[in-house]
Amino acid sequence: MAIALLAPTWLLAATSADIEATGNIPTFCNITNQGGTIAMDPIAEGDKLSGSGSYSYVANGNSKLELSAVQLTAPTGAAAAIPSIELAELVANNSSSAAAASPESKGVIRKDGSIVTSILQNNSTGLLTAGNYAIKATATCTSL
Amino acid sequence: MGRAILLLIAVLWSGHSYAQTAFLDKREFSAKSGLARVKLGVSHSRQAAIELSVRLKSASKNDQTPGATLDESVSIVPKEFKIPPNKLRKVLISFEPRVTTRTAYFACVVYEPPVERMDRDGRAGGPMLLATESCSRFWVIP
Repeated sequence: MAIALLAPTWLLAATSADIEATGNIPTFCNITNQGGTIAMDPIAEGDKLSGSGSYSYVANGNSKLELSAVQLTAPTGAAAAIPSIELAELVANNSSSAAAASPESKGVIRKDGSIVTSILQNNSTGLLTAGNYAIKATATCTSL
Repeated sequence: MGRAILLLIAVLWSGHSYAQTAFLDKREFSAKSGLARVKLGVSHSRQAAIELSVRLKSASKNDQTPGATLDESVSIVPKEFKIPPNKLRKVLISFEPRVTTRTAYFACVVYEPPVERMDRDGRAGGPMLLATESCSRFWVIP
């Protein structure tokens, strides 16, 4: 310490250094089905199967979310039914041929919400044919 | 190394326990040599190792939406892999874009949940399987 105090100014200057730290986090997004496979159960009237789960959507920049066309698997010869999936306050889709998209987030977003899924009868008897059903879709978040 | 640590911090910062993420170092790539080489970092924060797959997609009806998966003249190494939580796996996508204008592409990582057997005691019903995909847009410049 004493030596440092007695040292000429040029020597002190020679031992100093600017410290500069830089970093970068790329933009990214995550969409997560928090609970895994969602079980759908019938309601008493027999016209609908329904189930629920939860999602998490995170993006650190502008992003959007798309829900693919919904694929329905139904028992052989089953009467017509409409599958649907909704990610609450983000996007919903009940089409078996077209995708649906959320608006752009326009910035950072962190959102947790419910997933509501159903298969609703769409036939003159007002009933779902007995048997096993399944719904499949893909939720795609895109970091823009 | 420093960048890898930052990326892992970003994954952990996302705070949720099941997310998978695709990180791109850059957002613009040159195709001057005829070949575009896109480096991607892939990670997830589920509780156990999972299978992930990587896809290259073209733009759909607009520059904001991923469209068809591209396979022709596309090399993705590795394309499918099992990865433990909070590890960063580097992936290299190489392809021949043949573009004449600045063009959008999407690097995507997909998690498809395994089908779980559901014991329903003879009742009607069934599962809903929601695959999740995280895409990052990038641009190729001729």
